[in-house]
Amino acid sequence: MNIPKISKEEVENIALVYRLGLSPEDVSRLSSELSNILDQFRILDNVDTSGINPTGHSVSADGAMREDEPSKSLPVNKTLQNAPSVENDYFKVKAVLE
Amino acid sequence: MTLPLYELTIHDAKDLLDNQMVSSEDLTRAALDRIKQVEPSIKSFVTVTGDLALEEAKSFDQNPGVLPSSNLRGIPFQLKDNICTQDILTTCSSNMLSEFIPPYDATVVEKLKHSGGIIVGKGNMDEFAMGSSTENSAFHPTHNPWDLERVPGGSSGGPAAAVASGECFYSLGSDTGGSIRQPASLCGVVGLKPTYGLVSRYGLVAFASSLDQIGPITKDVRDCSIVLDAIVGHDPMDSTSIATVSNCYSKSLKGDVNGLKIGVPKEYFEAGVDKSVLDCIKESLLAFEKLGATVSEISLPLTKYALAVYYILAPSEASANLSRYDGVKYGYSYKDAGSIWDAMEKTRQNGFGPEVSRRIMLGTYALSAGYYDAYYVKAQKVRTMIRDEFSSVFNDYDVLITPTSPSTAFLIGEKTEDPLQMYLNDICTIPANIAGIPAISIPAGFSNGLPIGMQIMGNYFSENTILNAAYAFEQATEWHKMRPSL
Repeated sequence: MNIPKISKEEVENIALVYRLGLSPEDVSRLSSELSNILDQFRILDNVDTSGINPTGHSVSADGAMREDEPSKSLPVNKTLQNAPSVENDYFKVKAVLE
Repeated sequence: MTLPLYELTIHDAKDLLDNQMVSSEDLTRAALDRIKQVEPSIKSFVTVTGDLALEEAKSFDQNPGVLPSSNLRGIPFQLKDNICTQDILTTCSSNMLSEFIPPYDATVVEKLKHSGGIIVGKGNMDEFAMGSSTENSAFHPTHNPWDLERVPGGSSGGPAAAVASGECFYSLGSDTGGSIRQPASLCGVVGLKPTYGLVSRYGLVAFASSLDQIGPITKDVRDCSIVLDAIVGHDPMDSTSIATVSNCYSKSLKGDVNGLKIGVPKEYFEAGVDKSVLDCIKESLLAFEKLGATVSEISLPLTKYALAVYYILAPSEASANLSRYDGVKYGYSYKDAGSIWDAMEKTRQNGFGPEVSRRIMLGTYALSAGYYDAYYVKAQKVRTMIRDEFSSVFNDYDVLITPTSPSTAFLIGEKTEDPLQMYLNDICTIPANIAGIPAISIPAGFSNGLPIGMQIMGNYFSENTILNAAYAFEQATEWHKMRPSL
């Protein structure tokens, strides 16, 4: 795997994709920190993984399937109790489309 | 000389309760008094629920028949602050959740309440469980009870310090890459990461879902098995929890290791591990041999890749999990933004600390188009190989023994400047999370007055085997009886 240094522009791009706000100082710090950390991952280049299946969960969960039976869920007021902004029984957000 | 109540184990406290030598109120007052006494210097709590705890204790004492008899009935405990507690603040030690009051209990909390446990508060941690020193708490660092200048380890540093200093009889932590075992090691207590899926994660604030497990932090191995008995089991609310489990770990403790086959993977004893730790674990292996176990050096050559695999997978999963913090549904929300996107960016900028931002960025990068196969899928494939390597050694060995942490507790501030140095603290604990196998850390000695932990790993769902091995060692040694002087 060819790991380039992570430029400030790239850091800003990743942050934009995630919608994570960063200060200019954060951007330069992360540019060097991420480059250093990713550099350590080069070690995986030494592992031959041809023919190996990826593992998502280490232990397979046999109990994952069940009947879809309706049951009690949280009441609306409880669901909304931590919401920063509420109108009627809804989460209130700023306009997504302007 | 009788011990002060706060120093008792769960099983000792239960004996006193059963013989009506003490009441639940006595135990709860003992814990709360101890909190009052040492908390200014330890700072292991985010929230103390003293009034609630006393009320509960009195009600148990007055109505002895109200709950079925259990080993935990009337005994005060703490929870790491990433485990949801209904109507009790659950912050993850983050500004993002500093005012979050969960509307429901995590399944483990429900289970402990059902067993009659009494919550005395919530334990400090590295923000969102990301860290190995509890210095990443947005509120305050926690201090190691054995040396207040030093870290308690992390991310469950609050729980480990609270149990070690007698502020509660036991606590629950969560372990994604060592977050129960490493602080247990640094604080001289017992910490168990169960097999992935043994304990429900419902209500545990998600960090890396394929790695996270909840487990007990206790004063000794018997206590650990008692708490494990109470929290295991399939939960319809967590589809990764496993259906068939035992819940008689405490009853099956024999303390007999005659004929037990111990493998000692040499890769865990190489460069980077302090000599005092190496000597201590080697000494402990001799003790196992005296008890009738056979000890053989083995090799797990893939160990050196575990750290890289972990620091790709865990941040990737974290970046997905933490995207829920958008300032809309719950948690901190930036109010003065012009647009919804501006609001979201500022919410996360102000709500997340530096380590959380770093891991989100790392994970988002590893999952991004063009790098997904090179990082994430590659790491998942090496994960398969690491899992298979463990499975194959467990054909020949019952347990594996290693150090828990490469060093004893380090100084507060010593490793905060370099994230890579901090990540190396988890080098011995991460492989068990990657493979999903159970692992326990127990006290095995001291160096310059600081505790050293020994890790015992076992095959999937072999908690009985590792608890038994740990119990046998504990019966033969006195390390678990040592308490810090505070």
